[in-house]
Amino acid sequence: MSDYLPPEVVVDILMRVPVKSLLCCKCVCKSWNSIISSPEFITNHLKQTTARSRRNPFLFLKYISKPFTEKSCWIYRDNDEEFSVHSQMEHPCKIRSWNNGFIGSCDGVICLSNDEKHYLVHPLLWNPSIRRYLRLPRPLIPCHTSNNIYGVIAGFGFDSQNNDYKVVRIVNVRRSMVINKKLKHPIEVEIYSLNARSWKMIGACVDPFGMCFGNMQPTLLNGIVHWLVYRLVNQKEYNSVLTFDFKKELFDSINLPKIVVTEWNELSVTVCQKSLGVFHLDDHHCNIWVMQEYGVVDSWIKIFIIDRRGVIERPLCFRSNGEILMESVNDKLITYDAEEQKIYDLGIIGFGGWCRAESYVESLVLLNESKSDETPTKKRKSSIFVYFTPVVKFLQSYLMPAAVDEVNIRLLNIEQGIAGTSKGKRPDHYDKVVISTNEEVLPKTKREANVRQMEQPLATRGASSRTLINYSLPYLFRGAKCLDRLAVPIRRRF
Amino acid sequence: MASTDDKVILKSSEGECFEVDMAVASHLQIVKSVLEDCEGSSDKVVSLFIVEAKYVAMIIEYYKNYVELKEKHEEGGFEEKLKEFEKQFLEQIDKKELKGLVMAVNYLNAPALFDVVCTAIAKHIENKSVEYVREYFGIVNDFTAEEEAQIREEHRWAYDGVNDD
Repeated sequence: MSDYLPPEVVVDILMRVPVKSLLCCKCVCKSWNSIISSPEFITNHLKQTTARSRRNPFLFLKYISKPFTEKSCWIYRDNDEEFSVHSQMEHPCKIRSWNNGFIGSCDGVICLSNDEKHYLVHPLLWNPSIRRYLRLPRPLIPCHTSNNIYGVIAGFGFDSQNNDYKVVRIVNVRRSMVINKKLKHPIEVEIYSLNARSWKMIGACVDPFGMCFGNMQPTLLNGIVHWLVYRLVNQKEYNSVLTFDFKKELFDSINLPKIVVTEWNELSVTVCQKSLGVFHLDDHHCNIWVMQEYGVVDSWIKIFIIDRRGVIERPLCFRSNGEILMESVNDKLITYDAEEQKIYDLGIIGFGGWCRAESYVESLVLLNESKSDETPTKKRKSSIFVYFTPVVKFLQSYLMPAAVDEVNIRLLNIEQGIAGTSKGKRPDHYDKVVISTNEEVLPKTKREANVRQMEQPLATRGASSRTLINYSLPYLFRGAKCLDRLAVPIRRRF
Repeated sequence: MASTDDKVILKSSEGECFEVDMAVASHLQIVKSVLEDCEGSSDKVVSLFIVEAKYVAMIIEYYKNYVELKEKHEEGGFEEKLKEFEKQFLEQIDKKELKGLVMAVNYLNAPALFDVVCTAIAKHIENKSVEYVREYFGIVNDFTAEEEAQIREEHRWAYDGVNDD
């Protein structure tokens, strides 16, 4: 028998190799490279992984959107024997704000909104397993960022009919604006298709349910995304679930169990063993509902009532073994075993309200769509730039005062966030001042760090300030020539 | 149809004969279709021309246990017991032999064992260096040095933690 395996057997073997090793296998030879990069292989590898996840370690995603953490995305192995870190990733977004967020995840790809107001004006698809990301074009429906009237909800999912990943973006005015009858605004909807590489508006639903909403996290189940929304009927609010089918591109709604329809306490939608579920938190209990038959309102049953007092902050999601992952009041991840009615500490830190977790599968999706020079690891920009006092003085004298004020605020906030120092100090009172974050803190001794980039608000001050921050620190101080040239366009603003 | 009590003889490439229960042999799709084609014939010898005796023995061992476990654990627990057995089964097979086995299983068209062996090979090459994988599969590198460097550069982080043994 010959020593060479036939190509179809090689494909069958590679289909069972985990993502990280597959990326290495790409440089074994030309034919392996083209096998692994082919769309058919990527699809089949995903199918194989999903099918085997029942027998093999299930993966689990923990995502933290809080700014200024070095690592923000963890993938855990989740099975009966262990709950341990599989890999850890850095967030690809440059701008991180409190609600810079997680839109959804599907087939190993995470959809992120890379903007401060959660308007999804800078959408991004990220596959942490291959460390690739893809910036999507700007959406068509504008949200004027100057005022705070808009509410955008978005979802990410897969259209199995057209083999297409899609993002749906719904723009409405904020809930408070509707309730106070300040504004009326038709709901506008647009869809991004990865195959078409573009957004399109759909007129399918102009406020079909008297809907208004805030920033609610979507849940994906069977190609349909679910959001918890409020229906406004005769000036009364009712909780409801809005759904969007990525295949049919149609909206619908699902009624909640009667008891929680008018409930004011915290509600969230989830997936429980392939069924739609609802977490309902009241002061004393964590109630868990499951819709046994999808779409049938009468099939809602309350499966668990768990005493949460002093223990449970909020439930996160169901694990592969049926246990419920939760965050405890002291910020730890805990797991609830319903059979034994016991809570176990997983020894993992959560992150207050910033943590999100859901089941995850490793995949090669986006391998061909994203460019290699966009890999976050290649752009190893240090995440926190360190400015020393002279630089701050320089900034104060050469920038317009308004900009300096904004810088101050930002510096103070960040300094507090990291070192916990008190308010009221000006930046030049510090030995060092920290601005902006991307990945990791520079060593303090690295005085010659390149000041390559500063985030908003400075950057928004126009090209002049952007030019300024593109110079390295030693260069800035090297000569008056350079400073003069830089200063001219800025001085004009005084 | 041949009754499941029947026996069949499988002949390896060296001419060695193995007598097997029909219930076991029927898991090998190729044997099953050969027997169906010659239904009624008294000759129950199937020649597996390209399969060496050691692989025939391994395949028979696997399916013998498979059939037994399935009978024993009809009411449940079959999957776990099978998984346990598969682990033991794979432990006694040399890594080089896995390649021969996967070819044999592919030829005989036996899906359950094919999945087991492919998974074992996949597991074996996980986190192995590119050089090791090439050697294991007997593949000649057809990239130029520049091309290889470029592909490596695309996923440089993925090469962390690979080893040669």
